[in-house]
This record gives sequence, C-alpha cells and structure tokens, in this order.
Amino acid sequence: MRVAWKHFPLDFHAKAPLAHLASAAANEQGKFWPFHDKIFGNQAKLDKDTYLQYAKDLGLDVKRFEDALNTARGKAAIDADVAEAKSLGVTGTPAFFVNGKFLSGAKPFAEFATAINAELTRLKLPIPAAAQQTAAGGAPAAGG
Amino acid sequence: MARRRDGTEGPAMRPSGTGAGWQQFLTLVGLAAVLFVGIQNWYETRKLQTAFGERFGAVDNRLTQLATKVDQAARPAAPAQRGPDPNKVYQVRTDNAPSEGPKIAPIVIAEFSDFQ
Repeated sequence: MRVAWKHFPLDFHAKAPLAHLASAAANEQGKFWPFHDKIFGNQAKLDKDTYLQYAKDLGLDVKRFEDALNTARGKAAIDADVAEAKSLGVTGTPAFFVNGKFLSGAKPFAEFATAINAELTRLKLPIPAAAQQTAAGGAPAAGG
Repeated sequence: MARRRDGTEGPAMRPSGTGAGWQQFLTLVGLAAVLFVGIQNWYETRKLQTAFGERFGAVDNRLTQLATKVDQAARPAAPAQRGPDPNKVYQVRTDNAPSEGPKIAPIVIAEFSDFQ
C-alpha cells in the first residue's frame, strides 16, 4: 500500500503556504514524512524559525533548505496539487482517494479498512486477517 | 236524567256520537298535523344532510389537493452536490507526490491535506 501526499493549503489559512513550501523543501532532501510528522506534532508552531529548527533536527542541509524556502521552490508543485484538487471537486481537508475512490473528512480507521478491503476484493487480492478484524471495528493493525 | 228500561231513573247519559266524536276528530287532526310536521322535518333534514355531505366532500377534496400542492412546494430541492462523487473512480496523479510505501502498490491512497 502506498500513501501519497497532495498539497492542499486552504485559502483562509494564512500560515499554510509557508508550511507547504517547507515540507516541499524537506521533500527535496528526501525527508518529507519526518518533516510532515514534526509539523503535525505541533501545529501551533507554524513559522519559519520552527521549520529551520526541524530541518536541523532532521539532519537536512539547512542552507539548501532555507534557500528552497526563500525562493519558494516548491510553489509550482503545490499549485499543481491545488489545481488538481479543485478539478476533482475537493473543497475541504483532509480528502482521501483510495484507488481513486473518494473518502471525505477525517474518518475512523475502520472506514479506511473497509474501503481498502473493498479494493483488495475488487482486485482479487487476499485481505490480511488483521485487516478483516480492523474493518469490523477492531483496533488498528500496525503496518500494511 | 236517563230512564232505564225498568223505569228507574239513572244518571244522565251523554248522548253517544257528537261530543266524543269532536274530541276524537280534533285529536286525529292534531296527530295528523304532528305527523305531517314530523315528516316534513325529516324530509328537510335529509335534504340538508345530503347537501352538507356534498359540500363537505367537495371541500375535503379541495383541501387534499391543496395539501398535496403545499407538500410538493415545500419539498427541498435536491441538495447541490458537495465534493467529489463517492461512487466515481477518479484519476489522481501521485507519481511525483511525496509517498510512503512502494511506488507500485495495489492500493494507493492519495491524501489532499493542509498543514494548518
């Protein structure tokens, strides 16, 4: 299973654009997800200095990172994601597409498991036993 | 005073015929009048009942028609579609999206998200 991140900063979130640029800068150096986790770990702190600190913590080339931020290197990719979201009719976040099928909002894990299992069934792939239990509402399974 | 057959005198008897006859006649007339009025009443009431019945029926129908119309007007328009169609399969570009997991995988979840 692969989870792909698509940028969707909302218009009225003033601090969003910089956060997305920072994440793109981290992605440039192959550390998108750790950087993403740092941001979500403390969503109250959304400012340049914090991002620079994260870059440092993650062992990134801070100079390159900062340069990417200052020149907004990730802007094109972010804008493309936003345009795609709008063309798909996405209006709010988070919005998920499981093999192209839309799942809105922050859903309980069981709903994801159901959607994933449905896809596995459609693709005639076996559903892991743990995932079957999850879809039925059990505790989320690790990995997958 | 009336004279009995044996010659003795008895109480005066009223002559049969005229007096009682008048009373009977009047009673009969009275009864007939009452009967007549009663029948007429009954007849008129029946007419009224039929008339009212028809009117009520007509009003009832009209009310039902109006109620249906109001219901139809009050029915909210189908809500505008908000967000992507959950029954559709969309193509989401994920080739260059930051990803966790193998590039080729049977399940690909694309997440549109903000940080703030």
